[in-house]
Amino acid sequence: MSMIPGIDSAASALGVERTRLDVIAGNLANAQNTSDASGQVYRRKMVVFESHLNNALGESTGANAGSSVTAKIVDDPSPMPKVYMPGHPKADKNGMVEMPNVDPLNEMVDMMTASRSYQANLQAIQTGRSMFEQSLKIVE
Amino acid sequence: MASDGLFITPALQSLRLAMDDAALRQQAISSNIANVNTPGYQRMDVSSSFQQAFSDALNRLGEGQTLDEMPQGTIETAAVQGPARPDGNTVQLENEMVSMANNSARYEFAGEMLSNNYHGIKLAITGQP
Repeated sequence: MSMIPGIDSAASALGVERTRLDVIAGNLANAQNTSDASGQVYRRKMVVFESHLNNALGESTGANAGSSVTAKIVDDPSPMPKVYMPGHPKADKNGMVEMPNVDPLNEMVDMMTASRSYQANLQAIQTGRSMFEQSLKIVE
Repeated sequence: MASDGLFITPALQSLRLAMDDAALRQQAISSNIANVNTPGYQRMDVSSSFQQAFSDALNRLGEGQTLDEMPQGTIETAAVQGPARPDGNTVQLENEMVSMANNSARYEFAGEMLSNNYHGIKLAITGQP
């Protein structure tokens, strides 16, 4: 257990929410990208959250200290939409081009969720910190 | 016995217990907030055995007895879970934020009272405020 109660969980979540914002920014930037680094149509990335008990991560106390969270980035397997663009270099014989499966609307909603969760975790850290400060004041 | 000396009094022990409980609960709340987006996460709480030991201990302290041993708590998946979201997560962020505000107020209250208590002892020893 660290001196600030709950900081392990909240700090891990801050990192994960930040990763999520990075991934969302990447998706938005590549929303029209038909040729990524390997020449494929860009496939939307998703962040999958996984929780881990803090003591399983090597915490010093035997007691359970809540759960931390980690992120895994995976590809979104949903089908790619096709649009009619006959002049496009990647168009097939019918003039259809496969576009990334990124929906900007979804990304914006995810972005809101991620930034609100980030705020909530920050609040948890602030509360834990003020509790710690209060405990220091006992001996004043 | 009403008191076992200067620093083992029902008042000091119950305040310490209240602070222990609030610090533990803060960990559980923090864990719940961290996992608000984790699919299948079940919300955590202070273990029910500790909650029982906590209220038993407070009852004893309220009757003027002192404790030989402070109850030790841990965090576990809450026995009573609210409705789950479609992804199986049972955390409701609003509830967690409210209990966090509540909990930190309780902690600060106990801390302030404890501080006052020690201040009184110091006053008695030194004769100076």
